[in-house]
Amino acid sequence: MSVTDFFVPRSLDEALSLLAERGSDLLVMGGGTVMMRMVNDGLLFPRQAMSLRRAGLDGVRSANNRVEIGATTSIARLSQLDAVPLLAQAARLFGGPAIRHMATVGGNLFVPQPAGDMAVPLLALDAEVELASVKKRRRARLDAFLAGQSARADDELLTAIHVPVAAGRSAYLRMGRREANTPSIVAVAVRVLTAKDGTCTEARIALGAARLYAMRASQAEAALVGRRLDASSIDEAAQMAMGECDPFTDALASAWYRRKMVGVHVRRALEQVVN
Amino acid sequence: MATITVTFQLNGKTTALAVEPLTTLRTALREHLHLHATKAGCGQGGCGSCTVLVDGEPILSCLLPVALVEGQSVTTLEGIGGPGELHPLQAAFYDHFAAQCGYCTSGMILAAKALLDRNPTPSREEIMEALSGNLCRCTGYLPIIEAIEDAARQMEAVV
Amino acid sequence: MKQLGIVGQSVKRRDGVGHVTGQTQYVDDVFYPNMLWLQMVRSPVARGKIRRIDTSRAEAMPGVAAVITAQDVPNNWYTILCLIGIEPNDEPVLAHEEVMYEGEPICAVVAETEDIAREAAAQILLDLDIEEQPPVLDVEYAIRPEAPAIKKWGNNTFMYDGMNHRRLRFGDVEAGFAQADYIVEGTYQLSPIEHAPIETHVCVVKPEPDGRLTVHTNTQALYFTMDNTAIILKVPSNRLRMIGGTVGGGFGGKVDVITEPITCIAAMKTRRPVKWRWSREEEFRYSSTRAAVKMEYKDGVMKDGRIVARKVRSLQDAGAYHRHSPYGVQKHMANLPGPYNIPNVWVDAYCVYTNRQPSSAMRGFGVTEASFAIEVQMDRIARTIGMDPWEIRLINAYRNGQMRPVRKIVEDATLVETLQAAAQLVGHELPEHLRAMSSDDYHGRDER
Repeated sequence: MSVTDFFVPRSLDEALSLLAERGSDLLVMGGGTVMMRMVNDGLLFPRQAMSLRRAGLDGVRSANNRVEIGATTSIARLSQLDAVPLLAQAARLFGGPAIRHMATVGGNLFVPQPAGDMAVPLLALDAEVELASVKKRRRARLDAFLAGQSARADDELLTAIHVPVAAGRSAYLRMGRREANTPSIVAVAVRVLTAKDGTCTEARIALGAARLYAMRASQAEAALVGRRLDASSIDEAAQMAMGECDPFTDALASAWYRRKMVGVHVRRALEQVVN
Repeated sequence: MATITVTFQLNGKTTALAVEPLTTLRTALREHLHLHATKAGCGQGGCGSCTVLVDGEPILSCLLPVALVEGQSVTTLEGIGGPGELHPLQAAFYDHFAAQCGYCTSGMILAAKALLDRNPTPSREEIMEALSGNLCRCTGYLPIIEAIEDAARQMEAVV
Repeated sequence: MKQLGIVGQSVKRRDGVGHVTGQTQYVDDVFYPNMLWLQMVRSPVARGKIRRIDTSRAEAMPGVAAVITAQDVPNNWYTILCLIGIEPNDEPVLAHEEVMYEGEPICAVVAETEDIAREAAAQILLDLDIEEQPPVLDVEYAIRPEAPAIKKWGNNTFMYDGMNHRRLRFGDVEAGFAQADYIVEGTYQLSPIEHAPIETHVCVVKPEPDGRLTVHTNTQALYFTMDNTAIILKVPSNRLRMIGGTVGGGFGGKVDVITEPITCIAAMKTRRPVKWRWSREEEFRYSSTRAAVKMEYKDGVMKDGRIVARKVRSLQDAGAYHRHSPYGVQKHMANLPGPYNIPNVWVDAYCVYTNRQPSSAMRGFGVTEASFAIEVQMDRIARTIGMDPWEIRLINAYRNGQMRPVRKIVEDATLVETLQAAAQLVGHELPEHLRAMSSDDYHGRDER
């Protein structure tokens, strides 16, 4: 009982029609770096599969203070995206060179933590996802999408990610057991806007591998607003982030250690933004 | 068994294959085309021993359905040189003892070639970064890095 | 001095060109026409009783040529060290009554493609009926009287001459501790270490028309493999034509005889060539590892730096089966005192069985771990008594003519000279009295 069909649609419409026809029997792949591994290891036995790599969903467009990133844009392409430095920084630390050419930003949004790195900077950037079916298109906030409140319906495909042109200063850090090509022990993206007098007016602290899905440390963010970023406020934010995350234990790290590393890396990321 | 056909450039020659739909590029190369330089060290994208070049970029052939190289150009280790006419990278790996068991060698050389083709004078950090998706369990990496530095010098000297 | 032709020269590897051009042949590069592929069904639990193995749905799948179970194995025991008298047989080639570690091989599917074999194996796994039992996963717990005995001889240790550990007794440690100025203790432990060669285990067997079997294997130990395979198949070893060659990384991980017997049986049963190659997941989770070990040191040390007493308790985690561990622990025991002259030594070294991935050979197994513990302990001693770490080693390094705890007189010692040379190489200036030392400066006479 082998695979009967592998589709490589040349347009979004073609992809959506195939999906509407075949539903959840159809294994959908972006770059395929996660799905093909599961097929290779005998964890999945698909009968039909579809790759979105030629469906015209890659590419980056800037317009009206937003950057629209096609869902199948490769991580390698993002690593060169000067228009969104936080994203480029995260992309450069993603996987290894070959993986970056193959993996797609949209596909990575479906990868569970601790390997779903790209959600982290995108959360800090207030990104929205665009989903389409043969019937309609819609947008959803990324945090709602990740938390499952606005998840992909069976007949939908993620087509694009919309990122407002980011104000403020940002930083991204990730920690793994190795320097490259390894899932995260923890990933942190921060973005801070300050008024002329140096007080913080807005803060974003996004965490990866600190919960089952990428999350914002909203209490830590709130603790910074209205204050100057100094050793004391940064330390408080780091402590709050440690408290509000809900890390898991896996082969890479214990929950205890992940929680500690959230604190260390939130502090370091905020210090980077200040300096 | 269902089959699909795929046509692509392989080491400079037009190649057509009929394979099962989700066959990976690695399986196509090793089992259908009998080119064994590309290795099957894992199937997870973790070791890099299956690295080949697709349109000049390093790709993990264990994770790529061969259907997706339709119309593209694929380069394997066999395509860059052979006994008696070694590519400078192959010669440098040989001279510097950069291969012990030899299983990571194909992936390492092609990852290095992708680097040198776009950056002929890489720093040591850039070399290490380019190899960061390739594992070696034997050499400790240093002979590999030195071989690549040497090959880069040789290739620049010829230009 | 005679002119040397090769020694002292840099000689290029004979396989160098093959490696850099991709022409070196490995076992996975071996293909035969009409070849079948094998995949193993493995225990999903660490310990349990097998109630039922149902292969019917798998056998009905198109493309499945055969299923190999314990009944197909002529002599269903793998005991690699039977060749040096280690007993009793404890590891079945294929499990049939019980499983002792997660990943233990139960039965094998042989099919037209690797994908079909994998899917059929997944089906058998779904249909498998195993009654799970509480596993023993910790070595300290395993040796307690209340722990369930997972080995059939009634406890969880290898029995050495009727005792549940290997022991070394030399002098009187308690007297040594009483006389010592300092007592220095340390516990050192290792988790299991996986070799992770880039090439996984692969075996190809082709049945020959004359009844022989041609066996391509990436074993590091071709003769071990031939002998053990012949024992398992109950055939004379001249029935086996073994072809080894380039191993894509071994490090001790390819010295057990795990793939060849089953692949041979599959080739014999189907009368076709069969290939079995392990996934990376199998290699990581189910292939043998270096043993986890816990070593507890208690040393009695004099003010002048001499170690006068050393007591060591070591628990090595053999995992579910013997493999190389009974031999490894024996070697380990002999090495635990270290290359130092200590007049009073007591060692208890246990080879403990748990429901974990069996450990086996890896790069100096038994010895490397001991060296780690010994040298960290030496540094700890140096810090405790306020002595330079070079000095503590040079004072205690064994000399020619001294008796070692294993009751051998030291001969050809070079530890002192090696330490001196190392100090010079790293630019560390040793004081005169340490530079004056030599391996021949012991003038006593130790009796055997």
